[in-house]
Amino acid sequence: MSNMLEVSNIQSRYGQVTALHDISIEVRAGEVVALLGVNGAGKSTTLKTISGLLHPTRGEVRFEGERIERMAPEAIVRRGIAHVPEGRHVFPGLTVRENLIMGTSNRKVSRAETERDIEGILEIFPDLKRLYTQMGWSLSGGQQQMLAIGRGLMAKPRLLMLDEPSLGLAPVIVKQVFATIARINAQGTTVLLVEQNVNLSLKVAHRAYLLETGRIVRADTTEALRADEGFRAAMLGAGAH
Amino acid sequence: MIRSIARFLPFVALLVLIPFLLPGGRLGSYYLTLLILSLSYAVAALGLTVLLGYSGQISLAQAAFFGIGAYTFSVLAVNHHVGYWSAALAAVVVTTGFGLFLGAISLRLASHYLALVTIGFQIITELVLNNWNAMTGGADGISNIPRPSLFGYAINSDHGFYFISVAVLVLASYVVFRLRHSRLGGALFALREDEIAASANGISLFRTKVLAFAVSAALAAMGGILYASGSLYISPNVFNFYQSVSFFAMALVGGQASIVGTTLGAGLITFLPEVLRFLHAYYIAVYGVLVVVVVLFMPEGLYGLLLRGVGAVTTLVLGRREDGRDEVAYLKSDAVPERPVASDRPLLEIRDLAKHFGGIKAVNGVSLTVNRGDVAVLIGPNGSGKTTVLNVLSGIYTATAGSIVYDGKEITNLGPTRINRLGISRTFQNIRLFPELTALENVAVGHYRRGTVGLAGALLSRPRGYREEREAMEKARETLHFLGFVRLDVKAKNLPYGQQRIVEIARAIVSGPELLLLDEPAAGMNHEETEVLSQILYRIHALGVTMLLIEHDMSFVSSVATRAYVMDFGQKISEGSVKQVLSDPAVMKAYLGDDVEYA
Amino acid sequence: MFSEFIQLTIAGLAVGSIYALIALGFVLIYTSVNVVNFAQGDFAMIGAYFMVSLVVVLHLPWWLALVLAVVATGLVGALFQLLIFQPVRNRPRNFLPVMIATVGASVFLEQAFLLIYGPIPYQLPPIFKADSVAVFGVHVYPQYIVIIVVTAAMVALLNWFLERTKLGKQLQATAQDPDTARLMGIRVAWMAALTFAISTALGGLAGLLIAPVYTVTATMGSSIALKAFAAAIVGGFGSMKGAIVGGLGIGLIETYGATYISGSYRDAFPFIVLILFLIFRPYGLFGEKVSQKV
Repeated sequence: MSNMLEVSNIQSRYGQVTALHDISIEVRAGEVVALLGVNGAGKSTTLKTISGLLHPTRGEVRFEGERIERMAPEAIVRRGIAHVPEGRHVFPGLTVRENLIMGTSNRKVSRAETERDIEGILEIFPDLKRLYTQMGWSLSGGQQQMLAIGRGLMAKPRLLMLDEPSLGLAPVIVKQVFATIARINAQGTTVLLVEQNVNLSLKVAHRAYLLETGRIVRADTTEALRADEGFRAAMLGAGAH
Repeated sequence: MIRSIARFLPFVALLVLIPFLLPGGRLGSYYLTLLILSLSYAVAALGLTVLLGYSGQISLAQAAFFGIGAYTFSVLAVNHHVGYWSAALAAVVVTTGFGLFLGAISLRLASHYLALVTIGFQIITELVLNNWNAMTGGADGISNIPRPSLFGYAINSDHGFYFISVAVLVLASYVVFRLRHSRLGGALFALREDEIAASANGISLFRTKVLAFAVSAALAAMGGILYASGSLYISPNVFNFYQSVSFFAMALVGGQASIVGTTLGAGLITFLPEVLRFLHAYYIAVYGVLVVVVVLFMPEGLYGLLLRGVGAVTTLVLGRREDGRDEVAYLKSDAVPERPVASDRPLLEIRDLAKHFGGIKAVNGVSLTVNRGDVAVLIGPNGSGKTTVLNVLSGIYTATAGSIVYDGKEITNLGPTRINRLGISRTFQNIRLFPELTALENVAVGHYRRGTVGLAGALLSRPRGYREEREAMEKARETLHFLGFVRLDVKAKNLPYGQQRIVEIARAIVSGPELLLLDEPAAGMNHEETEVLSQILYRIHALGVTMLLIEHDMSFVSSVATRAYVMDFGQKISEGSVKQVLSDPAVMKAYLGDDVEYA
Repeated sequence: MFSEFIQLTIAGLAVGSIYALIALGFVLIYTSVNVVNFAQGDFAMIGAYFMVSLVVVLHLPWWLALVLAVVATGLVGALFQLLIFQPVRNRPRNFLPVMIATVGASVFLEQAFLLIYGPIPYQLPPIFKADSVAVFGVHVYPQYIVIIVVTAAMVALLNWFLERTKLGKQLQATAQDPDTARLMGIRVAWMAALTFAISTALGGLAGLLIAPVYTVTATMGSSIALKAFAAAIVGGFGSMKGAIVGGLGIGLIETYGATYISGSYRDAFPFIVLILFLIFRPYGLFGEKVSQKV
């Protein structure tokens, strides 16, 4: 299997502060890969650097062989990477339907195709059907998360990046979200996942990277990590060594 | 202080010498007239230095205040034969009153909006000056405006009046300079840099904004009086919207927050037409383009650019001075200070607190009690509502339901300034330092609520003003030292993340709060920095400060906290000692997720 | 008495339509890129001068001239955006510099057109030559009717564009959350240019519609724009509905006030209304109070 996404030795800054020191990640086509770590470890910054919201000060990012680390986000999403940001960022003043349509902004689509794609999303998230004409701001957190993922899928990405999809959601909703991730992956979309819910992440992902203050401190298959009791303890008492 | 004042001397000397350097004859006297005008503009533009440069409030009504000052003075002195200095004083008072009015409106408006309002005020002033014939003489204006006499000598010559103007400018500069270095100056800067952080440090946004507008209007009035008396004649078209823009250009060209820069800017903008005269008809168009270019591409103004150029040359010639970038002497002490034992007297009681945003119930019925001497920690997964609790607690959000009692007093929805003044201070998750202020200045702002000196005190009562100022700085220095921080004079924005956290904590404790709220103090810190942070929190705890913190780093939490509350999904799911809650299955589940199959 | 009232009402609505068009331009730019464009009124002047060139000099039919002049003004607006806003779009706190830069640009534009067209005011012939037309038996100036009808049509078109087309929704999405819009693949730089183009085209339309009532001069836009500005605040800066209601309201109040109260304070009425709003309802008729994010 060849690498779909290859992140090599990137360093990124937020203003004066170095947020990523040296991050290298590989994602192969068909995989679910999880990035784990405590707040401030650099997980979201890594995703932002891949999707072009930030540009690395050093290192390179390749997607399907092409270097993308200098490209703008609007160019990167056209190449097939969709980024569902932390906090969902549903457009508050647009309806559910309009939010979904915005997801197709990365490509030329006919009206009929748009309608077909929306049908597909509503099949995955039947709850959205009922909320179809409601404004983004009026949805609950779980509904917004469904919408955000659905909107990401509307881009027909080959790589879907999800930043903290379980954030602020009730446990039962979290389970639904993860079931959906597994389903999306089974249908052929590669997924790069940033999560705090370690147990579920280790179940849905094939491999995981552990980040700590802007560095990768561990990379392994999820079987190996699940079997490692010390790893779990470390995740709970994060920061301990 | 003395050295800072000495910096101004060459400029004052230059101003005094200029008349003797002018060519003779008609050209010379023409230039002298322009110089007098520049001085009057400079005084008014200094008002913008305070309002825009220091407090960050946008006003496009400076020409209106300039005009109100000029007209009030002229009407009194010419039509009502009031004595020169009494008329001048009355003009300043009246104009300041209008400034107070505009400042009072400004509280309710975000900065963008404020700009719009000031334009409205400007336009209305223009209309009144033009149309209130009985009072202002309408479009004809007022002529035969007198010049002052001093110690019995009438100062009628342009030369004499020029020196009077220089004296007024020096006085105005002194006022601005004193204000800048007083406790109020710190408040103005804090307002400009971050309103939320300012109010969380006990600075009343209302009073500070009103103060900035009042001072700015008073200076505009002083300028207006100089203008009227200098040109002997006024008419409404001098005080129009474009003059307001022109004042703005003076402040921006000179670098918004610089006294000398603004003065030079006033001179430059006034003399620019002379310089551009060779362009004939194109001059105004070129002027417009220059404004665009300077404003967009020279954010620090021409004067700032000049200073930077001089700095670069000095560095080139003398070599770079070490700024001690690497000598971060974090306090490393092995002696663990004795920590107070938590009492069972409650300091903070939260009951059934709720905060909803649209469809999202961020906090949904949380109750918790923090006793005196506790280091309580609020933990829980991201998005569980912890930061929202802190924001409601510190008055930044209003609660949807529930109550908060602090030290026996109901403080629900009191507002950040008042809550801070009761002795609760805080840090922010994303660090809200004042980026353009130095570490030391940041911390000194935290001392604001302990100060008493007002405007009059800052300007007149030198001993008390100085004493308080020194005390705030001393306290700030002490506090930073206490936390082992040494890079006092580095701007906050240039500090690395970990050090910014330390400075923010210093700012929160410098005023000696009883309750300290910390939002993820260890976020983004490496292992070593986190260790240092625990040391710091021990020391603060040893001072008797009760703390409530939000944190994710469990080993850090275990080392500092005496009591823990766990939140998930907007509700409290567990409480007890850190050890107890971490072994609670509900907490495990909230943190690591469910262990059962998901699909 | 009654017929005078009807005449005044129509005149007020016509002037108000002009304010509404320019206020819409203010609001569109403000909501999408969070700056205030003080050169907004100068685009009214530019539209009027373009119309002068196309009608008086080139003798084009008025409907063709109108479309060309509006489009050309929009293009100038897009270029203006490229020069004034694009260079600093990513700079934090760019509101003040951009705002002052637009004032500088306004000075430049007025002078440039003064130099091109000369200081003598142009007279643009009205679209219908008749001196008056009877509406419900009341004689009114036909250009007023043209202004009201064209403005209504334009507002309907704009509403259709923003609410019914994907591009319109993309424009709104960009205004609501630019970073997320970029993640969707929306070209936000284009959206900013488009916003400026639409807003300035609306200004241009306002200018060429009112030109036959006044005369065409380099400074004709600035006083109109200030009142439009007041209208936008009264309506609630940021609300399109507010801009329209505010514009019409200000137009009516000004016209009634000038006739029934005092002619010499004609220009003051909009600002007296403004001050009253600022004191008692600072966020305007339809504005929402926005709080800062922590």
